Amino acid sequence: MNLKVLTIAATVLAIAIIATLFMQKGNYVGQAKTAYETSTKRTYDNALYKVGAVNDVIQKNTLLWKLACDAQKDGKTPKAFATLEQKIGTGVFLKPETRTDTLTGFRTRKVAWNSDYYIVASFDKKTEQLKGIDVSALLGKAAAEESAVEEEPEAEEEATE
Amino acid sequence: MDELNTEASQEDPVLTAKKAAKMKILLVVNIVVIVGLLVIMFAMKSGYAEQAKVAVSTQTRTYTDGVQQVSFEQDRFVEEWSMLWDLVFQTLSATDPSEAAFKNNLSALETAYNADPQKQELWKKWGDEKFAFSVSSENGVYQVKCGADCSVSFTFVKGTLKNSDYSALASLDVSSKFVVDAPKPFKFAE
Repeated sequence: MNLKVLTIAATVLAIAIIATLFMQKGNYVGQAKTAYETSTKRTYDNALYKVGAVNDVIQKNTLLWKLACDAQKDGKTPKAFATLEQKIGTGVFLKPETRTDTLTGFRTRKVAWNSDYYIVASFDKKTEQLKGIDVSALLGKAAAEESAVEEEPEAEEEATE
Repeated sequence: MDELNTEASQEDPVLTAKKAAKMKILLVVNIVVIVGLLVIMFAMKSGYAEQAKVAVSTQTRTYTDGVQQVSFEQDRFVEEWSMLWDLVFQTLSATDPSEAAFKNNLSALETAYNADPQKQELWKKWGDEKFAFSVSSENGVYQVKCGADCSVSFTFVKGTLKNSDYSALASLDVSSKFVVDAPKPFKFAE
């Protein structure tokens, strides 16, 4: 009788092992899939963020570059420059900062879409002519002479626009 | 009741012994099969583990390399694109609109850029000795490129700048140029 029970138990065990044999591949596939998906998802999310952010910088800096280049042809006065600025960067550019450079006496107009990327156009106050545009921030070489400029009174700023 | 007990006790001993022998053979066969199956199971287990490891690492690396390639191309493009915009800007704001001044300006920009040790390192990492504008010229028309769909043309007539066309550069859509694809579904058999 004991022998009979043992034989039945051994048969059941053999069937169970056969079932495990077939199931273990699925188990490994599942584990490998999870490992792959976890790892690639992290890479994907990081790259999506980084590449997307750089694309965004390129698109928005393109507007600043275009403004700087177009201004060399059609934005020689503060008014013409402001018109170009409106035409090119409405909805992207922040409110321009108009100041007076204490060193040169030029009126400067800083156009930016964030604190890192901007151009600064300088105009002669008397002749109202474009004297130059500083694009160094677009090349990653932002000038550090911010302290050399002072805030322009609000009324004067409005008049420029 | 007594009759039943008598029948049981009277079971043929030879038949009982034969049954027991069959059971023994079946048990031995079962044990052999179980051992065989266990051996196969462990062999396959290590095979699957190795296959899974290789499949995960190969496919993850393939994906990571693809993503890094996009990032690399984008980083390189940003450098070339910035320099091209700078060239356009410097050319348009130059007081001397001559072709000679343009050429000087072009090489001065390259020299200034390549003098930066950080940039030198960057281009070496990318497998190039240094940065150089991709310029082609014909009859006073200079085409400066930064990729297949990114170019600027400068037209000189009698040695003086007449036109600079940077519309392609200004209208470039990089969101479709640099795209990170989602990972492909995992394949165990690879």
